[in-house]
Amino acid sequence: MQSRAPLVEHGSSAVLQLEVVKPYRMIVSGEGAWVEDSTGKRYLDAMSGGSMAATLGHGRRDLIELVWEQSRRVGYLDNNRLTNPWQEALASELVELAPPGFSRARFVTGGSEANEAAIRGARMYHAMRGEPQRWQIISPAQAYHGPTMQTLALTGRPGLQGAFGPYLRRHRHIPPSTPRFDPTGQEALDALDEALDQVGPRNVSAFYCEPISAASLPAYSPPARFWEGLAERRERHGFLICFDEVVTGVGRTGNWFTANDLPIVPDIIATAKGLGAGYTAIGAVLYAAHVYDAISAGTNSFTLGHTWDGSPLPCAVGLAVLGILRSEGWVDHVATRGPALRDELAAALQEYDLVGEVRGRGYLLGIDYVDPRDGSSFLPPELGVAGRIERAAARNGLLVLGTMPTRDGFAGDQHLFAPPFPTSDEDLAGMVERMAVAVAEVASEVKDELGSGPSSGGGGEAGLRVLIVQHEDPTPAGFVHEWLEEQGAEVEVYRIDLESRRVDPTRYDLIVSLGSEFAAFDDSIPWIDREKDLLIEAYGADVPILGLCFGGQLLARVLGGDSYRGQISEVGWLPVRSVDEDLVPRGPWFQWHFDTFSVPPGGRLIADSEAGPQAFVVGRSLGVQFHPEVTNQIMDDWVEVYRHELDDEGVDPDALLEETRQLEPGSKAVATQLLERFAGDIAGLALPGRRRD
Amino acid sequence: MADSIGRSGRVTVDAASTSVFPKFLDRVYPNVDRGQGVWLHTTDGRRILDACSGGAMAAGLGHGVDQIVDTAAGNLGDIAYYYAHHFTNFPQERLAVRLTGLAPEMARVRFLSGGSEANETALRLARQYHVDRGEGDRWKVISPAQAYHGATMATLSLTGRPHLQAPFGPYLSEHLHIPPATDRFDPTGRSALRSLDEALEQAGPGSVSVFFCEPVSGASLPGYSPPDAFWEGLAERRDRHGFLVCFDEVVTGMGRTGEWFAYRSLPITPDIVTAGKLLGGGYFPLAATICREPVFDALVNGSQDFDLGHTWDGAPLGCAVGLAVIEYIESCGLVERVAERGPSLLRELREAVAGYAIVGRVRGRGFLLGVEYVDPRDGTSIPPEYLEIAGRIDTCALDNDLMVMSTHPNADGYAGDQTVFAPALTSTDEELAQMVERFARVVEEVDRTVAKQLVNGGTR
Repeated sequence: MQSRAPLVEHGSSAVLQLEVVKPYRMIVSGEGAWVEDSTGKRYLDAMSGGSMAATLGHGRRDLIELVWEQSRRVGYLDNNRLTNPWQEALASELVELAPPGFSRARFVTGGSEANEAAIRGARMYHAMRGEPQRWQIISPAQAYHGPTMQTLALTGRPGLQGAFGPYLRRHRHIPPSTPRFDPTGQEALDALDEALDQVGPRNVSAFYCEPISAASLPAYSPPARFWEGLAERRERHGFLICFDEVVTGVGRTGNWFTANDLPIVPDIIATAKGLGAGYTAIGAVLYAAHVYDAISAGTNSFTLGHTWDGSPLPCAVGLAVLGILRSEGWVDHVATRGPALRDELAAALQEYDLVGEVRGRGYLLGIDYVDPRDGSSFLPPELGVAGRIERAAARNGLLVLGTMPTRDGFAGDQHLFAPPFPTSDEDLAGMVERMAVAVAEVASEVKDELGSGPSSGGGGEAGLRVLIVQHEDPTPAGFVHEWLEEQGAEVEVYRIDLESRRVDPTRYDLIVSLGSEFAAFDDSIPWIDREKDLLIEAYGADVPILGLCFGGQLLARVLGGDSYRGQISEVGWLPVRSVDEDLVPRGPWFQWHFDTFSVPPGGRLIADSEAGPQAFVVGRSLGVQFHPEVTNQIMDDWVEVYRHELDDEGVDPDALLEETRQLEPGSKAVATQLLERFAGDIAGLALPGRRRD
Repeated sequence: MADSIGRSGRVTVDAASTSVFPKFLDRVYPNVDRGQGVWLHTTDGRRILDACSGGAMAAGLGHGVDQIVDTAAGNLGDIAYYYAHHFTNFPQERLAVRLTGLAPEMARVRFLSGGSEANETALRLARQYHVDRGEGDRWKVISPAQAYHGATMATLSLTGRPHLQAPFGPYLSEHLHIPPATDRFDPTGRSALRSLDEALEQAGPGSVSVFFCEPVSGASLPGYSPPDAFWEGLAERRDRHGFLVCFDEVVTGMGRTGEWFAYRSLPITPDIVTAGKLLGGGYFPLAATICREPVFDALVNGSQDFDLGHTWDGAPLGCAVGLAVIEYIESCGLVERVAERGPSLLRELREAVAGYAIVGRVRGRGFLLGVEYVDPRDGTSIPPEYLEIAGRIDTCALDNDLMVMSTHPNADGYAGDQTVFAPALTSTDEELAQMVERFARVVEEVDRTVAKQLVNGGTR
């Protein structure tokens, strides 16, 4: 039932993924701050479940057990007509933990729902107080409050809002008061005054913001002066202040709510992620007493809600999460350990010009990248630095989340660094170290790219960049290498058996994986995990792969095919059966293999022989069982080094060498045809230096 | 933990004695701390018979079923949660395959936590489809006015019920609505089609993204589905004008109407379907937006991006529960049972409430039944609001230890007071008989009260 494919390709999945055609890795287990994917690769999770929800780390058996226990007792009840003890208890606890003056909680299922309910609450407050003209919302532009249309309308980021503009109400936005543009917060306050003036202060329902930004300006919070000015304007104009504490609430910043740490008390707080800690989907909206009182004085019902609002299961888990945070002392731990963690991260990244600032509060840290040429500007967006560091981190076994530069110019490349609260000092050190390795890798590449003038960043008109993965001395790329150079390609040979570095495959236009004396199913090969990672990442990033013999088998394997000892071995010049002779001519091709493989899900079998599959296409990649790269020189070496295998198979080495020389013109012609067809039709590569012999 | 909290609970709760912001500030809420099958146990020892699957039709397999919990625990594997940006996971992949197997006309699934999220996602998906095909002008939505698709602003703007929308009007998009093709006003569906043509013309057919509706109404016109002529006409207009059709199956999906999805019994196949409630069975908040291959293909050939998501989209825990729900429905043959038992349940309900002056039509499909009330003075008009029939039914039902859900009349005049009668698909014949019997008692009592009020004082 469970697919063994390390990568789930869109063609073999029924899921509509976030990135529609990107192949996804499969996660299979988690324990504390560690998670593992289906290839056995382990990662330190500095993103608390990818979304910052899993604040207590993975694999808490007590919480999973509670989910099942509560489900056996009663999981779901509608709260229009019924209440339940867990909803009652959780509401009491939350209003205790909220800033003074908060009296009521309404439960929902997630952060978007919480923010929508907060907006409705603010609106209801004004309507019931006889100010029905108040509906406008003012919010900082560089923000994120959810993907529903109304929450999306609260950000001022056209890049994020994409195609959905027609559904979004026009609300006013102010520039964020970042240290870069507005260190004092005065400009943001001026912009707020202007916005109030434009819409008419009596038409404004709420000012909506995160007290500390999560994804949009990782871990940034405006200076005290801004908050004080905001409070003063609320007094003057009568709007409400809503804090989106979906990320920051319930411990993330070292307090139960971040609002408790700021010189302002909001009127409504929305929270979610950490309340369920990755063990249940729950959100909550907290209302100050004066908000509740105004609404309840005007109406007997405030009913709009969602199926699971206040149900026993999410509330019971939320209660248990609060209990664990309290009894195990995690909120205090985050408050005391956070500043040191920030300093450690800053120290580890200090030497890189690419890093502008490391900031944050508690376990919500952010890294802001800058152009190393001046140490302050945003990086050119086309370099995609945040995404590359995110990938480099994953390659090095660390999960973080990069945020891309925004077109509006308020933010550049940034990273979130938000570990689970119980992460050990050793694992925190591991996260910091891996982050530094990832930044180092990309920093040196970026330096080269920025130094190399106008063509920085993209391949542009330059030749193809090809990475050849070579596994041992006697098995080089031979004719394939020659052919690539004839095409004007810039070829880099990566001796994966000798070099321990990790390579970013997205910097190449083509990856060629060669043959090997090892078997592609042998997980004891010291470099095999690195190569599997490389092929998975290349395939995932739509970088074409040409796999030859071992390389072809490993390609099949990482995409969910099998590689195993075959019933029949083949050594010598042999024809294949082909369903596409333009791409894979019948040969003869040189074969030297004892293992075989199965075509991965989503792949097309192009050729086979008695021994098994001989060629398959998957996406822009091609795997073959035979050796189009073989040259006279390679054959001489193989015959010498692997003579014992020929003896075992009863192959006369001299005859083989002779046959190879005789067939050479023809074998080069078919190999050329294969390479040209592959490059042009399958991989879709532009071959600038292409010429025919 | 579950035990200690459960025992500590108070007997009943009202707005003055809670930290919850209750949905109704004038109600006294029974405090329920255990559920078993279709029975809810309150902290003071009452046993309430649940004829509405937990109240909002999510707990459609009964409460506290060990087998579902055990299967879900077995499906989960070694990680409960990870966001969909970095990884996919086995339970999600398996559940997507299972769902597209149960809805074979569909190809792709995005998982979410609730019906509003699913309907929002459907709106975005339809819009992205058109934009990726180069038809950026298409964004408007046409939907029947008498509907409910969720509480978020974008889903609330899909209904044409000013009552429900107040005071949130300023946040709502101005979409177009057509009157529902009810048997009261439009038994053939022709008038709804005429309105659809008018709406298309008014909007300009090239600006319409999607027609959005429930195949069988859940809360707004309980158990009602327009006649075939309407669906056929809708399909014909979709062909002609190029908009998509999205079915909100948050209530109807997963067996409620005696089919895995209600669309499968209608003469039209939607392009996008949403599911919710019963997908998680009351064991986890789970929903889905499901689409046909051409919708997916447009994205593949276009932006390749549909990356706005919610924290819990496709996380292993919810999907493990979804798999257990499907396994349980299949192993108990519940879809077949509902298909077979639904018509006789409808008959039984109809007979039990026949003869009461406040009862109009009793209708429905599978285990999604609706009772419509009328003005007892003429036996056909929508009852005046001051009679409060719906509210009285719900209160009286709870007093009789029965839970049903009634919907209130609305000012737009398309529907009056109604009750949703939607038992768990697992209800035994004996339990169904008790529900019907208790409900008939409730109707009798309210009928009497209403009659008394009319005799005593007429209008207020």
